Amino acid sequence: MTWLRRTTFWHYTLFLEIASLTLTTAILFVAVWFTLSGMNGKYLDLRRADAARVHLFLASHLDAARASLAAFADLPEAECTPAVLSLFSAFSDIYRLDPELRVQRIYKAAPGSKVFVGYAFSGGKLGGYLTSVGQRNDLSEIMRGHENDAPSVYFAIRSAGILYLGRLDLSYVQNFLTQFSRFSGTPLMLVAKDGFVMLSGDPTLHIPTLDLKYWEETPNSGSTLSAGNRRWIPMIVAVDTIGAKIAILIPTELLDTQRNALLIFMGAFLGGLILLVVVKNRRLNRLVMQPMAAFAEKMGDLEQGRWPGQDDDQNVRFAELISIHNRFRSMAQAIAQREQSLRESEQKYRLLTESMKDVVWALDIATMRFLYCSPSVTGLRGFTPEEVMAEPVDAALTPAAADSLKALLRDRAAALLSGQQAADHFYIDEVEQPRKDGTTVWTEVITTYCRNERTGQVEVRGVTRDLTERKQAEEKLAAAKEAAEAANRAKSMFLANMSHEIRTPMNAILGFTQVLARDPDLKGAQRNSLTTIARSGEHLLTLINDILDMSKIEAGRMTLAESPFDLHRLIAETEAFFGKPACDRGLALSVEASGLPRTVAGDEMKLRQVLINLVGNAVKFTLAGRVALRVEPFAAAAIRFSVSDTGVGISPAEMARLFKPFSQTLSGRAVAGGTGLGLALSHQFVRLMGGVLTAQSTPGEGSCFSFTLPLPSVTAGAPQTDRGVFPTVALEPGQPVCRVLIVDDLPDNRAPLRALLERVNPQPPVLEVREAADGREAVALWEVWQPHVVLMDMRMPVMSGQDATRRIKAQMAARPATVRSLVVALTASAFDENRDDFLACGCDECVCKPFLADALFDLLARRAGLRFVRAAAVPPPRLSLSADELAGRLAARPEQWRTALSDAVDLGDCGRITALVEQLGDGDAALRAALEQWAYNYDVEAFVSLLQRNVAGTSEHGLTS
Amino acid sequence: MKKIALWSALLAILAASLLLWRQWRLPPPIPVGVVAWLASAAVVGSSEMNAADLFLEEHPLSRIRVRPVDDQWQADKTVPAIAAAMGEGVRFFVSTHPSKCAVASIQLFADSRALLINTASTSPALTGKDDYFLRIVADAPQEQRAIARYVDQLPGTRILVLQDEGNLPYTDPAFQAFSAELQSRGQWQIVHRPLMVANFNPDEFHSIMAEPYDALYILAGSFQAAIGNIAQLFHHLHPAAPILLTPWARSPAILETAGPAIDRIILPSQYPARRDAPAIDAYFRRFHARFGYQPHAMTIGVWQALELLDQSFSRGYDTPAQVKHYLLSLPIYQTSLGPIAFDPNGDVSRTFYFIQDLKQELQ
Repeated sequence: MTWLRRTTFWHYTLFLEIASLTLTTAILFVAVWFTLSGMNGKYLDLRRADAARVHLFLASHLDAARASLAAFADLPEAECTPAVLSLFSAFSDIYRLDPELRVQRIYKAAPGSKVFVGYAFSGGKLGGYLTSVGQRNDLSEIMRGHENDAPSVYFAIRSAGILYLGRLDLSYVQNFLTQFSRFSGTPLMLVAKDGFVMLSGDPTLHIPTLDLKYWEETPNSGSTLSAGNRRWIPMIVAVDTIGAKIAILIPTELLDTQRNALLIFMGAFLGGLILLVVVKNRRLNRLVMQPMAAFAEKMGDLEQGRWPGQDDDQNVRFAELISIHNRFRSMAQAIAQREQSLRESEQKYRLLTESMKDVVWALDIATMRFLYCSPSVTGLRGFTPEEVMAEPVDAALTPAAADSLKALLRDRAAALLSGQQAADHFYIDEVEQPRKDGTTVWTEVITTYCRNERTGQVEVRGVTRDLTERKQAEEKLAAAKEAAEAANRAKSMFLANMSHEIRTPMNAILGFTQVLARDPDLKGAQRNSLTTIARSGEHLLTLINDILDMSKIEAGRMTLAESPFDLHRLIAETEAFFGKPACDRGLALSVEASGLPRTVAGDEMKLRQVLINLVGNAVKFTLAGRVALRVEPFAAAAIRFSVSDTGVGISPAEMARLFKPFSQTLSGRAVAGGTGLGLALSHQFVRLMGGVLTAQSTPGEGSCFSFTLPLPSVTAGAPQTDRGVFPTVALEPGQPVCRVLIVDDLPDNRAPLRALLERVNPQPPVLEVREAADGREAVALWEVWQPHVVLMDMRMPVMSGQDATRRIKAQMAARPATVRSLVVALTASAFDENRDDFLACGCDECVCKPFLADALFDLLARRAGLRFVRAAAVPPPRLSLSADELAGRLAARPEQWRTALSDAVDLGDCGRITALVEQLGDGDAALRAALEQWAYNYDVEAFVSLLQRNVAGTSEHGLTS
Repeated sequence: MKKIALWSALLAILAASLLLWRQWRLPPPIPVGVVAWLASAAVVGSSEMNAADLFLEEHPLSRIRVRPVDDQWQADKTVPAIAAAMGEGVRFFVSTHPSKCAVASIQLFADSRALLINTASTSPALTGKDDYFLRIVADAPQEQRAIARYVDQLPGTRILVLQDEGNLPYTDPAFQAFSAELQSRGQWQIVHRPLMVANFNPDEFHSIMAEPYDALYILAGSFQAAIGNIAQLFHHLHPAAPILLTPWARSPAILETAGPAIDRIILPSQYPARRDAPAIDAYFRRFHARFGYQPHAMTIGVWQALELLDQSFSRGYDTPAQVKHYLLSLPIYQTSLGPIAFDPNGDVSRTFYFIQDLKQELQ
């Protein structure tokens, strides 16, 4: 990319023209300089030629003088008469010198000569010249004559051992020099070697000396000498042959004139050029720049929204500008029309935004200021739009809130710029905004971020809505929800407490029941009574567990216990569980299961509970026909369960509250019994396990309940549950003594445990049992007695079971030599997380109250290494009678008894039912056994079905008889 | 509005430039007229001008600009030449002309219109005047008394004194002072012969000089080539007799015409011999190296006068009154070629030296 320095056309043109002028000036200057140099050189050469002519003239004269002196020296002394001497006119003085350079004879002397016989020429320059005669110089340097101080040149010649000296008075040259200088206009001077001007062609110049070191350099017009109010270029011609240097003063007038003429020409040319440029630029300015500036001004007006108005193009000279002018006018009209449309559109949208209760606004991210805010902001916040737009967006916020808001805005803007968020994405926030009166208002702010193509900045456009009413409703709702949740939690807590309170006595009841059941001396009636107690207790426990499960679900504390299990076995057990009841009721129970994985991962207990509930309901509410359980794969890792029957069905009105807890259908209430929790629990369990329990029913035709659960197949083998073991009878004798500490604050809870353990304790005893009433007592007893097993109640006064367990475990860790006690938590808690807490505090196992003897013995066998003796397998009572046979045998009983039974069944009074069944005695053992089983199971439906069948049979019998 | 601002800015820049220029410009040069005989082919005249040139070359920052003033050492031309220069604005002058010219032009320096430092005029007519005519040479009486005292120490009793009539304003008082001083001592008999040195005729003086003399004193106010001829003639007749010149006859040109008499010539001088004064010797060497010849001794005074003026100008004194006040305010000025001590009238007293080895001195 090329970088361009922005400038105006005017400046650029000016720059180009100045550059052109500068270049032209430089070229002209160089041309003038070369011309002047050439002219100066020619001129100086001409002057140098003049000097050469003078030199030639003087040299010829001096040569003649030298020849005449030689001729004089050859003359005999006697011939040197005045007449002869007058012939040697070139010399003003002629001497004969002795070896001391003294004058021996004066042959010729100038008038007024100051030289006399005996005068010595031994000093100064002349002495030096005379000393060297015959060696190098044939004439002396020009000097003042010793005779009369006139400029002179001496010639010396040695002839026959005699030294003759002649002086040439150069005064006569003065006239020549003067005339030549006047003629040529260039003064000539004879200059001694030391720079003294000996003869000057123009004495009026008064130049005594010339600085030879300076002027002997190549002359040029830049080095001038001022004399006689004129400037001269001295030119020194170094000529030794005449004993002087010829200096010529070249006047500079001609050169100055030439130079000035050229400079004037150059100046005039450049001036003309500049004038031309100025005129051209003025024209350019008027004809082009000014119209362009006018265009720019009109465009500026247009930009400011001012219609430039109509104008003419008479002053525009060029077609291009006229074209631009016309197009601009058209463009301005088009813009005006569009602006009008925009204005109307804006008015429309303004009306819209200003009539809205919601606040419409736009915000510039760069400045954090509002670009627009609709007037409805006044109603919302109390500020006028002008006040809002005058302040930054965070003006009314606390510093922390302001920073948070700005950071949020910038993050979203950055997300837009980086492409992480689409431009049409809408953000919806609930913001509590300050009002002018100091209060706050909750608002819903819907924003979208966009990039302003004109400014390149990110802008936020949003709508702010008053949420006050909604917030108030939500707050009420939340309060109600909180109240409901609090009530629910209170209910759950109540139920949990009730569970604990109920389970505690149940523990005693069922515990002692289990103790007594192991008494081999019981009579039949006693055992029946005991069985009734046990059955009632278990039924009550089941009821409590259902209620607890529901409360746990409502409290959100129900958890899944997922683990691999054998699906096939679960289905088989379900089928086996309901096989007999279905058969008793004359129903066909079919199970269809194919293509299922053997082992799946899931909560087996809850699935079992759901299936038992659904199949049990189907059997219970189906008088005739069939009940089908279908299990099949459904999609990947999912299995669909469906239970269908040909029962009474459910009316559409009842379908809506089918899964509501404590709600029963008409048919449910008709058959009496039940709590109305079964379907509700199943529905919740299925939901917990990731499915939805649905029901389809047609009254009179039957119902179908189905659900699909994610039960992924696992390859690991399911843990084998030890089922089908026989009841524990006693401990094997001869085992090492096992010390068991029972810790419970309630003696009624300690007693059944102790009784149970002592019941199975052989002689000699294997178990030593002690009791502690609280945790502190247990810890103290542990210190001294070191029990192998501690059955620890968790909820105790003084010191809880958890604290006691922690201390015991801490003591065990600190003292490795002590016995490793097995701590079994005994709890009446209904919640699984409590179990986790107990295990976390150090308990090794956890047993729920009321305890089951066999489970407890299994635990002791598994963890404490105790060996138990189990009872031999006792086959369950076989009810081989069919429904019709039972009906027949029932019909044989007294009518009064049957009526009483029917009334008891109608009332669901299981106690009365059990009493009536016991009245049967041993007369019909099979009928009694079947009825006792139903009564034990509180299977009122079975009694209803039998009685209905009995009534039908009686009717048929009556009809036929 | 924009144009007004532009013009205001231009005017401000111009005013600032003027202020800066006035602040930083070099002080204006001051013309100094060197009054001399700018005759062709003469050491005098040329020496003064070249001495001034050398001074300016060695003092490039000096405010002095030399303006030659040629009076040809003729009294009738001195006043017009100086007046012409004053008409051109020259307010300061340095002169080397003889006393006759100085006496003729002294009225030009009666007031503060111009100031002149004279380096060669010793006429007592110039002494003791409170004017703007300063003189850095001792006047003739001092000079002649010193010469007389020197002669008195020489052996002999009869001395020929040749008085140059070409410069009587100097030679007359000089002779009077010399003869008075010498006669007061009683040893010497003075034979006084006036002559025009420039017109010296050997034949005329041969018989005069042939008389027995023990010494010759050529009392001439300035150097003239004929002094050497006179000395040679006397030496030719009295080879052992000393020949005394005035300080103003000091010129290397005497080596040309004095011949063997140079060994007998004794030159009185207001400056010590070059071999005793390294600064003066260095000056002559620089001069010779620059211009190729030996100047006469008056250029020492020219140099000193220019130094005094330059010193005054550099201190900001650039009017004749200021310069005179400055120069007379201090008891002594140490120039590079020797001290100068003005008396309140602008005259000086000098110690005189008698140089005998002229070949060494003038070579």
